[in-house]
Amino acid sequence: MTDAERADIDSSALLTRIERALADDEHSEHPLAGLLESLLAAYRHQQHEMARLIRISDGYHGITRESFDALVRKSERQARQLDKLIRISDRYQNSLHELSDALEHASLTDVLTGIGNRRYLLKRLDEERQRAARGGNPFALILLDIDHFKRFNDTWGHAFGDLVLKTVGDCLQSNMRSCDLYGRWGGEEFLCLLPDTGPAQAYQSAERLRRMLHTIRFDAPHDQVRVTASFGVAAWRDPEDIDALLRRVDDLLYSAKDEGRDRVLLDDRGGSDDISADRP
Amino acid sequence: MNDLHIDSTASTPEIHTDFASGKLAMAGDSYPENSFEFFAAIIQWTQDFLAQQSHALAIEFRLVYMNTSSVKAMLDIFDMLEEAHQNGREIAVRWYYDPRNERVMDLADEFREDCTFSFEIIPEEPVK
Repeated sequence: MTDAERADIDSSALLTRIERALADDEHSEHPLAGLLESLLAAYRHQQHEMARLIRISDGYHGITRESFDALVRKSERQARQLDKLIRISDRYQNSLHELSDALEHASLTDVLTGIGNRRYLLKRLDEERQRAARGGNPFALILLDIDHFKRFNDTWGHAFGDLVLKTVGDCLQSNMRSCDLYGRWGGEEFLCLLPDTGPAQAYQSAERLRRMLHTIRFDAPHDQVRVTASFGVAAWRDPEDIDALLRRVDDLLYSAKDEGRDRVLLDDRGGSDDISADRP
Repeated sequence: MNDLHIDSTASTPEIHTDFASGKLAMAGDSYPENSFEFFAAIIQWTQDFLAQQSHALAIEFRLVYMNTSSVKAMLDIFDMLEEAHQNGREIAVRWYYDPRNERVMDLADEFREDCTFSFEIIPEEPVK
């Protein structure tokens, strides 16, 4: 017999004794009778309450048992769905991101030569001008135009013309410094942007390109063809805007054409380096 | 039972159902203004079919782009299908995709992962 069982028996025996005593006339006038009666009533009430609470808790237990598993299954299912949903939308997001990168790259690339296009150059020109205007070092531009390009196209066809354009693009790629930016400006014109560069240094770069072109031979039907280009070179002058600078190199380029092509013309007003020693 | 015959729009797929023979087909992009409302009809049809019919359900998807709430609705549909399948219903899904768009194959594969019923992902050259 456990202590609890013993206590239970003792207390019910005690209750019976108290009840009997209270029913007994002899004890009804006892000074503790009233107190015992109240205690008894309180005890009965507590027992009743306890039984009610046990019923309620059993009820809860019953409800929980039935629905708890379903609830767990539902929340597991939702967690799984959420997981999957996140994975799928991540995947969409990633492919959108890749797509927008690819589109941006495509929108800035010249399809034929694979180097930057005019949009790319305008973007970088704007950035470079802002950087220089904030107090950075000035930059220089080289604009070059392939001489007699129309004649090549007319004589040997557009495929030949395309080959020339691609080769000039490759020539820029392999001869410009890694910090230089370049692209196809349009038609047979190419533009190079040389950051932190004065006019003399830019002039030398253009000269090197001009001589590089001399070394290239193009295979045309029944012939080997040499290609030359004319160059305009100028350095940015604070606070000149990009359009004004582009007009200057463009004017120089056409002067170079007028003076007989296959040459570099430099606008040496502006910039800080002394170019007189380099001038041919 | 009313079958669904909904034409596609720029943001919603076309839908065709056949209650009698047990067919459900959806094709196109899905990013409706209100995905919950749009998919409610499809979910209702599927529930009715599973409750009122006892034969197999054959599903054909040619879905391409789906927004997140469409994916959520589809996950609910697939859960319903899986439950029906667990209870012995024959379910078969065929998801056709343009082989140039592998992303769709990945998406279908993601749906297939938790399904124990027949679920084929089939490359199909788009009709010109």
